[in-house]
Formats: sequence, C-alpha cells, structure tokens
Amino acid sequence: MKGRIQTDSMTREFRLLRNRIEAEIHAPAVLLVTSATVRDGAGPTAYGLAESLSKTHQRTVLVTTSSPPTSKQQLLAPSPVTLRRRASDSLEGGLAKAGGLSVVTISHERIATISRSNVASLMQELRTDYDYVVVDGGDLPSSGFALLLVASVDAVLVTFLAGRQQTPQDRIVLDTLERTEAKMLGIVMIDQESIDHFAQRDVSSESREIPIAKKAGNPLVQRLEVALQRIGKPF
Amino acid sequence: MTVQSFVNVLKRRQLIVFSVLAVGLALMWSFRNVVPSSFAGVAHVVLLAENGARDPSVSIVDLPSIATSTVVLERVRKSLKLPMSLITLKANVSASVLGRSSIMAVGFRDASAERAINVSNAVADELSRYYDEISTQSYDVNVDRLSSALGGEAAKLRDLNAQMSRVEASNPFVVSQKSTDNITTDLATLDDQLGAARAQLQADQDIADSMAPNANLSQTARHEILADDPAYVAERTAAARDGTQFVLDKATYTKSFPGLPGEVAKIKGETAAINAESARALSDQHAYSPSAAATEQQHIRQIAVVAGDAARVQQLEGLVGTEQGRLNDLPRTGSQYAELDAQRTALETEYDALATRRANALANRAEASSLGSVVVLDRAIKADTQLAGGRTRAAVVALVLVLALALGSAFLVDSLDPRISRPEDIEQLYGIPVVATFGARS
Repeated sequence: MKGRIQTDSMTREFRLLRNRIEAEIHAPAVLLVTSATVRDGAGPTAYGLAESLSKTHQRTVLVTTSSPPTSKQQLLAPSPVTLRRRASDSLEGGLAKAGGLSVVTISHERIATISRSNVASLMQELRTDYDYVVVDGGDLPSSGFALLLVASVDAVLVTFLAGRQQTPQDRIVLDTLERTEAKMLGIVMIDQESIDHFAQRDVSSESREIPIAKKAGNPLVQRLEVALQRIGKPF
Repeated sequence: MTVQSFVNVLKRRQLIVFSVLAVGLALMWSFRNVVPSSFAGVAHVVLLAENGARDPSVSIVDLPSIATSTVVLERVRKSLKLPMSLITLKANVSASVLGRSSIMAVGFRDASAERAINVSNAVADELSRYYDEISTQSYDVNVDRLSSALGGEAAKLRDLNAQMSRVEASNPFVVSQKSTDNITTDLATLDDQLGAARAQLQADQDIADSMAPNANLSQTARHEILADDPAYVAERTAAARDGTQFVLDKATYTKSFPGLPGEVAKIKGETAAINAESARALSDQHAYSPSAAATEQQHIRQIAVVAGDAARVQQLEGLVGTEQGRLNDLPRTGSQYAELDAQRTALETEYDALATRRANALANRAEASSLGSVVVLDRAIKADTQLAGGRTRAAVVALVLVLALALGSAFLVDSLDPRISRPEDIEQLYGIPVVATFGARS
C-alpha cells in the first residue's frame, strides 16, 4: 500500500516536471540529467522523466551509458537503470524499448574514446527521430559523457540526493554549468527512499522490456548502429 | 517555518524526541517525592464603585500589583509574625482578577493549610486597608496640614486672650465703650463715700475724746470707791456715831459739860482720820469703781470705732486713688486693648476659614473612602483549602519543560545537521530553483 502511494506520488511529480519541461523547452530537444555525485539519482530521474514524456505520445528516447559499478553497494544492490544498462550491454551499444520508451545505451568503453563532435552528431541524429532526447549523464564531475554533452544540449536538469552533505563536486557542477552557459531548468531533489522505490518498481518492469535492437530490417536501428559505430571509433 | 516543515523536523528527529521524553519522564518519576505537598488558601476581594471614585488612578487592574507589593506583604509578615522572608512570601502569594469583573482572587500557597488560609485573609485585609490609605492619602495630607494650621491659630488665640485678660485685669473699664463715664461715675460715688466716712470718723473721734479718762474721779466714782473701802466706812461710822453722841450730849448738856470739849476733839480727830482714809482709798491703785470701769469700756469701744472709721476712710482714699490712676491710664491701656482685640478678630476670622476648609477636607476624605474601596468579599475558610498541587504543578511544569527540551533538542540537532534536506537549502547552495522533489524529505 505504501509502495503504491509512493508510486502515485512519484508519477504525479514526474508529470508536473514533464509539464514544466514541455512548457519551457519546445520539441525536439535534448535534455541532460546530471548530478554532482554518483548517488544523487540522475539515472532514476532521467528514466522516470523519459518514461513520463513517452506516456504523452511524445517520441522520447533515453540515452544512457553502461558505466561500470563504482562500488560494492552498486554490485550488491544495483539500481534499475544499472540493470537496464546491463541488459543493454549485451547489445554492445544498441537500442531497446520499454513500453513506449526507446532506450539507447552506450557502453562505457565507447564513452572513454568518444569525441564531442561525434556525440553532437549522435544527438542530432536522435533529434531527427525523437521529440525529446533524455540523456542520463551520470555525475557531471566524473562523467566524460555529461561533460561532452553539457555544452550542446538544450536544457540541463541537476539532481540532488536529499540528506547528503555539501561536497566540492557541487562547486564543480556550478562552475561547469556557468562556464558552458548551459540552460538550467532547475534542480530535482530526490531522497534515497525514492531511489530505492524506483529500483524496486523498475526491477519488476524490467522483465517486460523487449529488446528490439537486433531486429532485422528496422531502419532506425540500422541508422543508430551506424551512428554508434561512428562514435565508438577511437580518436 | 510552516507547520509542515515543523512536523517534518519532528518526524526526522523523532528518535531524539522520544529519547529525551523518555529520559525526562523517568527523571520526573524518580524525583516525584522531592516536591512536598502544599495547600492554597484563596480569598476574594471586590473593588467597589470604581468608576465613581474621586481618585480613579487606582483601578482593578492595579490591584494585583498592590496586593503583592512589598508594603502590603511586609505588613502581613509583621502582623502574622511569619517565619519566612519577604521574597518567599511574595513568591507564594498570587493575585489575579477574575475575567473582566471587579473581583480579584488573593491566594497563598504553603505547606500548612492553616497558614495558607491566614495569610491569604491577611493579605486581603491589608489590601483593603492599604487601598483606603492610597485613596485618601491626598486628603490626609490636606487634613493634617489644616489641623496643624488650626492648632497654630488656636495657640495664637490663646496667647491673645491671655494678653487681653491681663489688660482687663489691670483696667476693667477698657472692655466698655463708655469706660471714661463709668470711671467718673465710680469716682464720684467713691468721693461721696469718702466724705461720709471722714465725717463719721470725726464724730466718732469726738465721742472718743469725750470719753477719755479724767485725772479727777467723778463724785460717783469717789463715792463708790469710798463706800467700798471698809477702813473708810469704819472711820465714817465711828465719826457718825461720835457726832451723834456729841449732838445728843450737846442737847442734853450745857456748854459747860466737861465732856463736850473732849467730844469735840474726838470728832476732829475722827474727821482727820476720815480724810486720811479717804485720800488713801482714792489713791489706792486697786480702788474699783463700776461706773468708772463702764466709762473706760465705752471709751475703748469708741476708740475701736474710730479706728474702723479711719480704716474705711483710708480704703476709700485708696479706691479713689486707684480709680484716679485708671482714669489717667485709660488712654494707653485702651489703645493696647483695642489693638489686641483687632488682632483677635482677625485671628478668629482666619481660624474660622481654616476650620471650614478642614471640615470640607474631612468630608472629601470620607467621600473618597466610601466611594472607592476594596472590600473583602469572600474570606478563605477551611473548606476552601485545597491541595494546591505542589507535586501536580511541578509535574506539569516538568512535563512542559521535558516537552520543550525534547522539541528543542530535535530542532537543535536538525540545525546542527550538516546534511542538506530542504529545497530551500539546495536553492541557496546552487542559486537555482528546485523544480521537482521526490520523497518524504521534501
């Protein structure tokens, strides 16, 4: 019962956030969801936002990275996004679909060698096919992907784990956003309980995910694969 | 801080809140026997005719302050000989106005029920008295000053009266408007009396002079002295007998009777003896004559009358002299008396004015005292004594303190918590608005 209430509450919050984004950012647009630390909930927020956008018949794609586990805790209690990434890792960077939401996963090995222009062309590619491209940028100070994207996206959302102490990474995020003159939509505050609840919810929904990346004859998949192969090229 | 954020803080720090509450309640239970029981006596006073009072400066809202003032409480402490300090007494006395009424409850809390009743009643009584003092204080000052002034005026009046009495004593005619006429009339009367007295004196003196004793005895006195002298009487008798014998012999005999010459010689001898005896008897200092003695007595009395007349004449002469002196002194004493009389008249006028003002001040004081007064409406009695709840009160206070401590601890810990849990903290950190919140911490 409590989980149900929390789910409804989160759904309502995501709906409000979605409405705000739709009011301020006109499609097609690329939204970067990032944070100051790893545990600030950028992944769940990006996924929930993308899912909420997809429910309004918007063509929405979630771009995420398959970052390696950064801690023992992540290994023992992986977040739903991590699970999703793991599922997508098998694609070696490909496209999956969960309900009406498309998910593009870029393996961390590719991120390590990616260039800004390639990422920009990938986003441009996705912008042509989707109304909203929601990028799970992870933590900005340590995520190369988010750093590459922050200057070229249409808007940035910063997530913050409620109850944590202030860290030097907060200052880095602020300086980076100010330096790149990124358009800040605002901050999403999320607590650990919501993150955990999100993980439980998505563990169950994970089973309904239908991988389509390898489906033959899908022109979208084919184009993306070309793009992914291109950005995966070393410098 | 909103109610929601208040509740959120308590929910976040509920462990601290419950821990402090538990510890506090445990301490309360442990020290429950430390606080002794006490009793409270309550008396009620009412402020009468407050609005109509002449002195509206003291109203019902001032009564609690007056009741717990050090003046009232010190008097109560001394009258009851309370074995406690003024501070302790003040701490245990309570006074509060009941709602919007003119009734005030005066209470005292003590371990002794009897003392609680006595002190509360004493405070109520003393409050009533002290309120009267305050209400009539200005009038008291007025009355005292007027009384003092009246006393001074009365003393002056007495002094003036004494001076006037002395002047009147020296010259009684100064009190009369026709003092000169009166003195003249009296003087004339005295002159008449003096003339009559002098005439009387002269007459009596003449009488006395006429009664003065003479060197020659009167015939009567001589006869009485000789008749009372036996030797003379014997000589006389013998001479009479011999004379008779001679007459008889002469008639019987002729001139040639030889016995006649002898008898003649005998008669001559006896006559000489009679004369000698007569001279002796009359010259005898012990000779007594009743008529001479009576004359002497009358002379003495007349001399006394003369002396009395002389004294009266002298007295009248003195009176005349006195009156004459008064008449001569009348201009000086009259002006002195008139001046004193004028002063007394002025003083009496002043005295009457002061007396009138004092009477008015007394009336005003009485009016003020009757119009604005504190009356003891309900005295504390045995039945009114109740367990004041020393423990209960202490428990309530302690509970409130424990609750406050628990809540304060929660907020203190929350304020010292370096973690960022509220949207406004994040907005302050980043300078960017929070557009969405997920979770209870929002």
